[in-house]
Amino acid sequence: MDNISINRANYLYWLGRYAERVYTTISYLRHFYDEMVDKNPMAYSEFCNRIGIVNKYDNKTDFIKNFIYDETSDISIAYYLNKTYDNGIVLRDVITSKTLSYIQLACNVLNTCHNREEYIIVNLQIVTDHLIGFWGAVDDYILENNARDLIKAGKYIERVELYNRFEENKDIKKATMDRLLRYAINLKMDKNTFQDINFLNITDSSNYEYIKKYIDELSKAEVGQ
Amino acid sequence: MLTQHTKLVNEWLERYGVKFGIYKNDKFIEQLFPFDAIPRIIEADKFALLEKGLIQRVCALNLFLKDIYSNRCILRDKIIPEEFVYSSKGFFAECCGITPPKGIYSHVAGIDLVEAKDGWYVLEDNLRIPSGASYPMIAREITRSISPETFEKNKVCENRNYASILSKMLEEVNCGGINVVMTPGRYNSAFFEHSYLAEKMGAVLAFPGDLQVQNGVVYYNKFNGGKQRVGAIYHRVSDEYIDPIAFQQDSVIGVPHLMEAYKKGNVALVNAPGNGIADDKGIYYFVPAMISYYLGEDPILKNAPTYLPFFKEDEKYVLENLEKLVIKDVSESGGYGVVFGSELSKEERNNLRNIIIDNPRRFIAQEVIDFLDLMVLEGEEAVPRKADLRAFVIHGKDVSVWKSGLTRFSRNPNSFVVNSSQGGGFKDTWIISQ
Repeated sequence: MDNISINRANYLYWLGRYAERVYTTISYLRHFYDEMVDKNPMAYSEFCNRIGIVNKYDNKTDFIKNFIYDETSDISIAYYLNKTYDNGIVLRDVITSKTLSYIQLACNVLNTCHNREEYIIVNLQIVTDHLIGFWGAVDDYILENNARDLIKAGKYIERVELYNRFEENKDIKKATMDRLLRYAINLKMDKNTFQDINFLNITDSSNYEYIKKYIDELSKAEVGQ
Repeated sequence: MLTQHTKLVNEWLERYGVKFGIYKNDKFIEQLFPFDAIPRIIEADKFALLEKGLIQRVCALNLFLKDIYSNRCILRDKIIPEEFVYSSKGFFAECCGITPPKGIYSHVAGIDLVEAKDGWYVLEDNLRIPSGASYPMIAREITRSISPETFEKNKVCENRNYASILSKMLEEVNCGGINVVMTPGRYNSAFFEHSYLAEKMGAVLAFPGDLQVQNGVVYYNKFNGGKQRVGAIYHRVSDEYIDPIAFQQDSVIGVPHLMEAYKKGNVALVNAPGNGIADDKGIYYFVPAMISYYLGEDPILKNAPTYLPFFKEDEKYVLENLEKLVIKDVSESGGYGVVFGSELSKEERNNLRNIIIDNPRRFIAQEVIDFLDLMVLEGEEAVPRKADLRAFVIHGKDVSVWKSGLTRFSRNPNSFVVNSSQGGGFKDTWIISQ
């Protein structure tokens, strides 16, 4: 087994990144939304700043509606989820129909809410539930080790990136980086392969030391970069 | 009762992404394929006859392909006019002299049939890349889980085995190496099927760029620098695009030099390139004659009464009876290029007459068969609709008919066109085991 081409390695990696982007962004969004309810209606402004997007929203209602559901924008939960689907749909034979179905279910939730114009934050919990199902399925159903490691590497790179932006505490970041390192090392890829799948954007070296260096740099990065 | 769960079955089909793609105004759209829970039921004795007829037909078509790309006896004996074959877009001169592994050309055939009061009629033979088996496969799995009592009570032949039948056939023709399903990519209308079959067969799904030919051998390139030899390719790419060196030069979805590897006997291509000549709608007319010629048997299954304007006598009949015939453009598929003479205005009929006179080889005409309706659920109500059956015949060491099939139906009460791309739905096909 373990017949994975460069193209498919790329899809696996980005499947992990986008799925995690949806998952972790939603969890931060929930925190900021809570503040918007009765403490600071403009808290979404800081949220935009942290994830590095332009605050083009008129008010919190406009923000919730568009940041979550506007799939025509490339900075919305719906867009990130569609990208997750786009990367997953071409991997059915590797990740299995069962695993893919959790992404489809998450997409269905957002589509249904959008069609009904139900722009409420609580619906996102169902998306989160399906994504947790997805991650469970990744562990349980995917037989190819490299496939699973590529998805997980994508997942933890995205998570490290977002944790930095939101200044997550050091212990949590370290635990995440340890996991990333574990999956990246398992892959045993050479320099050219890293370049081919745009893994970590590394261009001039390979394996453990470089990944470690990259992660060290990432951990020092300032918020908003 | 299964029929009470149509909505639930469709929700599960959506969950598993059971879709097909169409292009509307140059935009790719994925659509769900509506499922109707009332199955088509074929009794064991009826199926036995159908099975025999299908095997006979596919064996004859396979012999025709072998003949047409080697000695061409059927042309010399004037069973089929020579120019009729050579003018077909499906005839690939590049395939002459190539003998595929085990001499099999038509590994997977999708034969379209309709049932009339006096039995089954074959409407089309699809020997290039027939699709649709995945839909009854997954629908059965879901319906079994939603309504297990239905399958406990009814003696329905199981259809889980399609992937294993395909895998076995691929193993039988494999020239050494892994089996792959070669897809043109996500934006192909049948991509769901490509990926689902690869999953169920345990084969590798290969995208454009994943395969490479070196010294006449096909390899699958791995991301970590390794490569794996490929022994059989179930290709879901149209023949003219599979190798830009041999065929369409601007193809970006093919594998350069694939035909070279195939010629050397280093890889099996399923189905064989060049099969388009056998599923040319015009060649269909000659299939009963092929059966007699190659097998020395009477055809078990009937063709729909068909006329070839290519023959003067038939042309006269077609032009005089246009209003009661269905006209098919031989170069079209998917329900496109099908015109019912009765639905045309006088002016449109005259235009069509002129087009037929100018290019008689391009068309066939058939009597409209009043095929039996099947009941379809519309809300709570069961209503009659036209439906066909695509039966799948697998030719490996043995030839077998899958004991299931894709039943497609028209959702429009006045239409005979059942294709998914034209808004049709599908049903499971139950073969009763006793």
